[in-house]
Amino acid sequence: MDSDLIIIGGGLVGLTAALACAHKGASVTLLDAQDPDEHLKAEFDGRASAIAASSFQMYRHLGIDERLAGHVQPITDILITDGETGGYISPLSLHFDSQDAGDQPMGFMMENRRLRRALLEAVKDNPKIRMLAPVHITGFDESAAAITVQIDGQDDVIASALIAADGRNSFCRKQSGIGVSTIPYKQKAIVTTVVHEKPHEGTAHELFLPNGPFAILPLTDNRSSIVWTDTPEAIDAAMALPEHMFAAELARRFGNMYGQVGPCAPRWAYPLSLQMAEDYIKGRRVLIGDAAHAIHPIAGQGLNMGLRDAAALADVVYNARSNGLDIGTNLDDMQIWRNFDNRILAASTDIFNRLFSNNIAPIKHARRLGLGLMDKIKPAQSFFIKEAAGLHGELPSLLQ
Amino acid sequence: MAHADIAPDHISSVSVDPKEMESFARMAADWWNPSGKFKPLHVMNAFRIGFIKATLCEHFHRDPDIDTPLKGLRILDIGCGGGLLCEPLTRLGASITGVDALENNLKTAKTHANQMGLDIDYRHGTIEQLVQSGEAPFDAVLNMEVIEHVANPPDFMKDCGAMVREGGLLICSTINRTFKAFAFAIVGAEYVLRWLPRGTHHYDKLVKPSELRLWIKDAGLTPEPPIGMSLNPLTENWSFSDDLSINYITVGTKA
Repeated sequence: MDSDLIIIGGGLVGLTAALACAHKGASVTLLDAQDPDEHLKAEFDGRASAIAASSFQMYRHLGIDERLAGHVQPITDILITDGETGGYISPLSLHFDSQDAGDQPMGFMMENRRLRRALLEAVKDNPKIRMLAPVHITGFDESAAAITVQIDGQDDVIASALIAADGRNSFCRKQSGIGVSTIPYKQKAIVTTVVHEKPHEGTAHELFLPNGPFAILPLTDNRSSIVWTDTPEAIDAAMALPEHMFAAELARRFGNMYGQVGPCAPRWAYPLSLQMAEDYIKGRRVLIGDAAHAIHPIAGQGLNMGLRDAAALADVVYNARSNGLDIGTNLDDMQIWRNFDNRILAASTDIFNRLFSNNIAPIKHARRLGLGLMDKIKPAQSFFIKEAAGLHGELPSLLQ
Repeated sequence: MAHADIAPDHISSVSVDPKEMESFARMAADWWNPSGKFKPLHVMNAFRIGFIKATLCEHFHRDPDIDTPLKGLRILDIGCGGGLLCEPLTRLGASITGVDALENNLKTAKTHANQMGLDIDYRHGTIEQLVQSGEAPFDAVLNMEVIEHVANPPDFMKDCGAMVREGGLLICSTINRTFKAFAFAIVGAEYVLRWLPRGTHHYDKLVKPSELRLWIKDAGLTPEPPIGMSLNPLTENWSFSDDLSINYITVGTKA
């Protein structure tokens, strides 16, 4: 056996899972199809992520917070508004501040490439993790005692369990014959970064527009990350706009909230859909992150679900390993632990998006009323905030 | 489980004929499937290994957080079955001898250990025969869910005690003879939930903590207070409790 675990996928979830499991004593072989240095280029991934308070707690345990110093923007307020572009903005808005989550920031914004660099450096410094990248995986072979990954032009790698963190189009999931159910949203999103004149004071804005939410998420250095969700036609048109016209459209959406606003990064467009794997575990294989569940990025929960998978996995592997059990056949608790959380959250963000992304008059009135009501009802708000911060339910040890 | 009436004439090491390998590999796959027919045993196993590891680490002053905390300890598992305890304890560093009176169990255990690349000394026979063979006493003897199946528990316990070295310990788990145990462990587990085959346990062979205590004393060991183990049938989670009315564990030490 080469290691306790093989993790496929060197993205944010795969890297975090490797560090979390190694922190709990397991040895890990981490495989990725891409050259890690490619990942670190700004052009590779223009996205930024909101890391929930609980996920960030795991990064503190893993020493990643220190490697991120200077690149983390705490989110201290969330302002949700129902409105229409360029015109009337509903006076009934929903305001969360961090006191609702118990006086700590609700989340932490950072650029994906910063997080990726911090995780990669930690992986390179960790003697329990061996990273092989880029590699081309050709197949898997599972025996009574182990799982083998075949790699083009290199030696096979053998471990007790295989963790697939290879994303929405997971090769491992397909090879394992695990089906998915998919709901396309008929929406796309543009992600970019803007720089603005006035400070954001750590506030995240989620503006619900008829075609989809427009999110303004605070980054360091008077910058904000934009997630603009709209119909595919609108997004394609916005992608085709010349720089100055795109800038003008963004400025119109911001109004005069932050003074002068201008894009400071390339634009990226992503199609949106909800996709759930039918199983998370098969034999010695476990799916985590987007390979298991890819959700609408509406509440910033997609990555955080993957990070919670990583934390749960670390506990399950630790429990098996510290009791001398065969890790690969003792992964069932992972399914029990994650299933409920993942499906509930996927369903709730789906409903949330459908509720807000339309212009049907009764629903519009109801949701305006709903937002106004929720703002008045502290317990409902507190539930929502704690869910967004990942602080609900029994938590894996690294999230505490 | 140790059924004395079908034991061989003498104790012997276990080997598996290559011609039999395939059928034993199939049986091993059954034994070792955590959600298969031995599921209740697997659920209990993870819990009791945690107890055994903690007890051994405390008694022998080992650091439980290292990879092989039991390194160098010689442990005897009586009624080892398919090796559900032997394999994990081997991974934790111990040298394990597993004894069982049923040859098929041992061949299954041996086949699986070979598949997993684990070196475990499996012996076919009874504890009495092991004592007679002149085997050196062990650091620890495990006697888990066995005593309620043997023909003569006091004599059986004396043989177990003889296999514990001075300064070593015995860990013994069993089922109490109470109405609650009858209702849950026999009616519930065997008839209602079908977790165990019918006839696995007989009420009159169940063991009261006071009886076990006496047998351990008579075997020359000092019994510690018994610890209750409770199963939540809904979550299928085991936990320790003061409730000795169904499953319980007693540790005995040899001065």
